[in-house]
Amino acid sequence: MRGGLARAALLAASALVAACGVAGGQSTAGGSTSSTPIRIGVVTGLTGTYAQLGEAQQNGAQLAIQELHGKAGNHPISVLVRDDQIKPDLALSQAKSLVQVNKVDFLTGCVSAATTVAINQVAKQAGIPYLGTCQTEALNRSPDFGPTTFHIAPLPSQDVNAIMPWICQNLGKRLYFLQPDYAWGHEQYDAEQKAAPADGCTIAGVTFAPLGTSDWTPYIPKIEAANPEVLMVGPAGNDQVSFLKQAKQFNLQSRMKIFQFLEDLSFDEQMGFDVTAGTYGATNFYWTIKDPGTQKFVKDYEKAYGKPPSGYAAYVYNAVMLIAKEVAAGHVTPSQFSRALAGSRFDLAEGPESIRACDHQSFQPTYIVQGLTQDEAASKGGSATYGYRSIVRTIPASEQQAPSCSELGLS
Amino acid sequence: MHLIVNQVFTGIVSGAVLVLLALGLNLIFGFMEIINFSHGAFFMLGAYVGFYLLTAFGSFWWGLALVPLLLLLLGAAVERTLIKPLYRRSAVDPLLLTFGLTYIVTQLVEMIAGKQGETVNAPSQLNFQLPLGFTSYPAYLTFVAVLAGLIVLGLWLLLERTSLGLIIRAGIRDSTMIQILGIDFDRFRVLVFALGIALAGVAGVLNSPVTGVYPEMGNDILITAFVVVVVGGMGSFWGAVLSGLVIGVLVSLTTLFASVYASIVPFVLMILVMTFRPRGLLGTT
Repeated sequence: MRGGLARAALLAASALVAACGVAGGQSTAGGSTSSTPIRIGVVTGLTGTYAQLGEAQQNGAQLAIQELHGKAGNHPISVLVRDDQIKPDLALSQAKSLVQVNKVDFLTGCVSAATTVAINQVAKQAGIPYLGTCQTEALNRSPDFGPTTFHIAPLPSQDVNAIMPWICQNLGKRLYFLQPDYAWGHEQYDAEQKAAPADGCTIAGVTFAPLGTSDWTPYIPKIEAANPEVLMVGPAGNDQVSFLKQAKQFNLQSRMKIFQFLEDLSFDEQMGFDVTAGTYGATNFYWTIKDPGTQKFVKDYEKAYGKPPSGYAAYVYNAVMLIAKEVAAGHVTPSQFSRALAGSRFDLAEGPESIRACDHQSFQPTYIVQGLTQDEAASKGGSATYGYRSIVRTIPASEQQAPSCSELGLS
Repeated sequence: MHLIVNQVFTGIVSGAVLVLLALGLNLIFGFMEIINFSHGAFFMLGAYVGFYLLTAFGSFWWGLALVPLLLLLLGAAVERTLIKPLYRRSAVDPLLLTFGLTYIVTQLVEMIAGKQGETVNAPSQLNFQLPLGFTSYPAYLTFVAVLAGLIVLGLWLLLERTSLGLIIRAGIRDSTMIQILGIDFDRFRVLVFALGIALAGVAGVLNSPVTGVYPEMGNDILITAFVVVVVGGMGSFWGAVLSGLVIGVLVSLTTLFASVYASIVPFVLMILVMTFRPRGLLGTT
């Protein structure tokens, strides 16, 4: 009897735990003065596996508003930030709340390919522009692409196609892929499966691990047994941090080259020089990029937050600045905004970029970075504290890196 | 074959932290008939306290030594102030309270420590590969497994060889009878709850160099810990030990052959056990 009651209570409580979510949220509103304020809703992952990227996005949004002094032309402009905990259902409800309750005019933000689709869905239904700020293959093609959908982060395939030739030529030809088991991880691997053989590499194996994996020890022996020359680390955020720290404990770095598909300063900070030294990574933003727009952004971010920015701060900063620029130019309605932004070029936090007209996909350079030791940080990395990487290769943006408009059915 | 042996050993090491968590849950449930849904929160608190002690004293060992004592005191305080008033009420009330406590503790940690989490390095004295004959294995992870084994042994000796343990075992078997016999049941409730929380804290500290510390870490592992308890047999000491190790090994082997299914293995096992052996692997009817 006691065991039965306890078991029933346990199962009921488990269902309650699975169903519950803390719908936390933060609101940051700029000034509100006249009758046409512009509100930008930012839905991002402030808690969970990618919390560091979410915090960076929030910082980027707030910095942009600060630099705009809360104005886009004559319009007061503000951001409202919501936490989706990288859960698609919560992203959906937060985006709906921003649209229906807070009456936002634009939506932006995301740190997960799973949530960006949900946010975009809400934006499409509401007929307002959405600027996706995380990697996904979904936003620039059917069924998720729409007239007011924009993607100002790269496609996973863009980065894969950019980096794979360099990896196969410089690091090794026998590759093992460790991927997060959700949309983004599969999108990465779909592109990698095609690119690796085309660039002269072979695939030694692939493993998919659930998002949020914290104990990677069961995965490591399998990777070792495959004997790759290069381990492609697909996970990001806390998953990447915990994997690489545990890989270091197993001394994996001494047996194979480690390449992080998504490098970010926020991950490097958590890992430390001891773990990142000697590893390689790909990124679309690094704080030492020698571009005037980038360096201004870096300087302003350092002044506001005491440290260099992460790439994900740059994405949302760019999104808010693009919105403000078009609003100030009088392109306030969704159709005006979309017509103005599609096919445009701009130079903001990430340097020169363009947005392709047919699918509203941004094109930006890809950088390959190498981990430095603490001794090298100041001289080669630009800072004794944050000089985790040096840029070893800059790969310019190219239409060849992404599916063509005709392949997408959008020409 | 070498790979499978390696993977089994990895599973045993992974299961060690689960065993500590499950034993604490089992103790609390067995003696007090409370399903402690805040157990994961105390696991997380132990990890954070260990991190701050490491930062303050510059040594991981201070955290490992002090966290059990601090969590013991905290557990006692929680039992006296929050759990005790609910004893004469419905059995569901303590469950709901501990469920709410989880969210309160997690939110407080987020407010104080931030949402991102912190990284914890393994102690430098254990930062090497230990040759084990069939493989070389990180010394720290081997240490975790060995220490967990020693804690299990110590707990067993406490329960089997001391008068305190005798009362706890008697209380697990029949709490009404020991009250009739004049034992101050209330005093032992606070001791058992505190001991369970201390075990959760130790598990958190040991796990922190593996996963880092972050506010949600307790939620992630708690469900698996409950599965370990159910599979082993609720209230069964050796059931929790066996179940934790079995689940660790099964997850590790599934990761090797079909990694996408690894996360559901504990739940499949739980369903099988509940269907064919409802009392658990070593539970009593």
